[in-house]
Amino acid sequence: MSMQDALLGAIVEIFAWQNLLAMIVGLIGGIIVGALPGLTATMGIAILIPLTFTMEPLVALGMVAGIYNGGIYGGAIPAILLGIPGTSSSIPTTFDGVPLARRGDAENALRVSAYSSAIGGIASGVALLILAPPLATVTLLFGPAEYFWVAAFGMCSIAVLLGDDALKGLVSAAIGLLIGTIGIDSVSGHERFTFDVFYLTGGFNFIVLLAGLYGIPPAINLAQAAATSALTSSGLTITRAKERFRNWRSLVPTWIRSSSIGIIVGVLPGVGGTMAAFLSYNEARRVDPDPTSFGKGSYKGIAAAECGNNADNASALIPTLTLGVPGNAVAAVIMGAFLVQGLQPGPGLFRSEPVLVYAFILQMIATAAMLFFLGGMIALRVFAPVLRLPPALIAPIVICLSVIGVYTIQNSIFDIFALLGFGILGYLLQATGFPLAPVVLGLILGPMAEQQLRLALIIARGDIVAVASSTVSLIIIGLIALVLLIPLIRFIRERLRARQNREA
Amino acid sequence: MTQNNVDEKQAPGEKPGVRAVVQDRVLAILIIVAATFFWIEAGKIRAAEAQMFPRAILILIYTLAGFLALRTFFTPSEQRAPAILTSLPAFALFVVASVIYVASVSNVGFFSASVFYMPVVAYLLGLRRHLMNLAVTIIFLVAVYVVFVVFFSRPLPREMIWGL
Repeated sequence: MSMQDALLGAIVEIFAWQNLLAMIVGLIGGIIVGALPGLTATMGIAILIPLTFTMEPLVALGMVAGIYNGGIYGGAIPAILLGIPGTSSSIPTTFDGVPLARRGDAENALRVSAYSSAIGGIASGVALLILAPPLATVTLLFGPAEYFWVAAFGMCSIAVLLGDDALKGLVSAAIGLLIGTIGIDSVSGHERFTFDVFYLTGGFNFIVLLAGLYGIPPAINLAQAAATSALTSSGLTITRAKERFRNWRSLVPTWIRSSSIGIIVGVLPGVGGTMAAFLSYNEARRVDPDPTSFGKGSYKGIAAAECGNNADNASALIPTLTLGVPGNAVAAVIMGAFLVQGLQPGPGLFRSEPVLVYAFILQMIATAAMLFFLGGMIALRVFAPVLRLPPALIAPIVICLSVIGVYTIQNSIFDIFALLGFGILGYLLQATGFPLAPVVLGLILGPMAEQQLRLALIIARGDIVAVASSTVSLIIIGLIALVLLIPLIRFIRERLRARQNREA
Repeated sequence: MTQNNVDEKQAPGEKPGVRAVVQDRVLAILIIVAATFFWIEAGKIRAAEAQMFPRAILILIYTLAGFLALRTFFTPSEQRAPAILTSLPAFALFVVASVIYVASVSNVGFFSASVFYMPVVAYLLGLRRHLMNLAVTIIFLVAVYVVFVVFFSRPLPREMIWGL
């Protein structure tokens, strides 16, 4: 069967009412799951899998596609309205979403996030449809050493470029890396920093850290603001935007750039939507004529983050569908959804089930497009009233939501104590000028970086020079050096300028 | 940005904290002390290969903390850092209540603990709209029950009151 025949067959299939209904239900469910801190698209799909045993394969996959796209987008809603990212890939959305919500532009911010998510998701689906086989071959050039350097580059660039203080950003990343080493070493099987506590042998789940670092400090801030009357409920009330955002044309370059970044990052296994969102955000800020507006309520910042993290969605499935290698956790769960239907993702799937594969890819595009309508409407009508609540009530609600979300990950009471511990640590770090995002990134990428480094050393028979000898590795190392030099150059320039001012 | 950065200009109404250089020096010392604790603990890891990565991170932390301390000698000493706490009583009340709440969740269940925690904390933080306080608590807990228990069938700690 030719690609054209398979595509035509797939188009007919996805417009069956059962498939459309499954996509809509999945999308709405995904948005709700993504919007609730502690629940993720990965968890939503994992829970759904047992329910899909009895469904037709395409109905089940349509629901999976909806939850995936909805779940990633849903994270933007609490990120904007409460300053709590529902998913880790929505962390950069808080940077501009919170200032916009505070100045009464939450409605516009939610609309920009919905449209940007839809565009990123559609672009990613189209990339999956057109570029799957050739793009998948790019990752074949990457060995363990290259993956290690990619992880190192990701952490360095975020730590250095994200905040105003590169040194504290790097300390934050190192703290995240150290937390990531807690538990049983996956290679040797030995315990590390477990202090004979049974619960620590499995290490910390990154959602616990995420909910702790991003859920508790805002709740503490709200509690203090409520007590000092520094933040009244009217300050949090969402009002109809005085001026409706209409300058969509100004976001087009950001959408194109962020979609490209998200698609490329998505293809690289293990990197994921969080990295795509951060890189897109940093790139948008770097090229903008007014980079100082970022972090203070820039629509381009929200567009970059949301477009970037959704552009990662479908492209992250390229290695899964073409090579049978899931690129991230959610791709692994989606692979499970294929397997329960008796479908083995890999090179053979495009030959044995072309209509089904193309229909699933079209479902990814269709559910992303549905965000234009369902994303904005649900966000505005259902979640925006959250802001009308007084801070004295929002603070305990955030704690309760974080506790229930974290508990349901692995039914662990220890996790909710860890949540509180990370929350207080996060508050203190934030209050002393340490950015929190590099901590999370360190925890997510640290174990991957270590595993790839040790694998690379085994392949190179312990020769550390060989780990940095390939052309790709050298290019990435050069980029790392460049990123690390930026704060040093900035520091020297500031010193020189200060000296000149004194002399003048 | 969500993070508070050390800035010589204070936001209106924001309490000034200690001198930024003093704060950074104290932080550098605390980081070095914590890193030393983990360095000693890393020595207890049985396999040398499993020690390698944590020790590399700790060397990085020592280096960065050293730079953090060193930098304070090259930055203007008059800069003030933002205050860590804006309201000590509210911070203490909220943290203590949350610790008690978390401990209660494991003993009496999520809903039984939340039905007291939410309205009491809101009241102590100054909310005097009692009807709204109770209504939001009930609506929130019903919504949580529907999503987590009915839709997603997530097992929650056993409730002491209702035996849910």
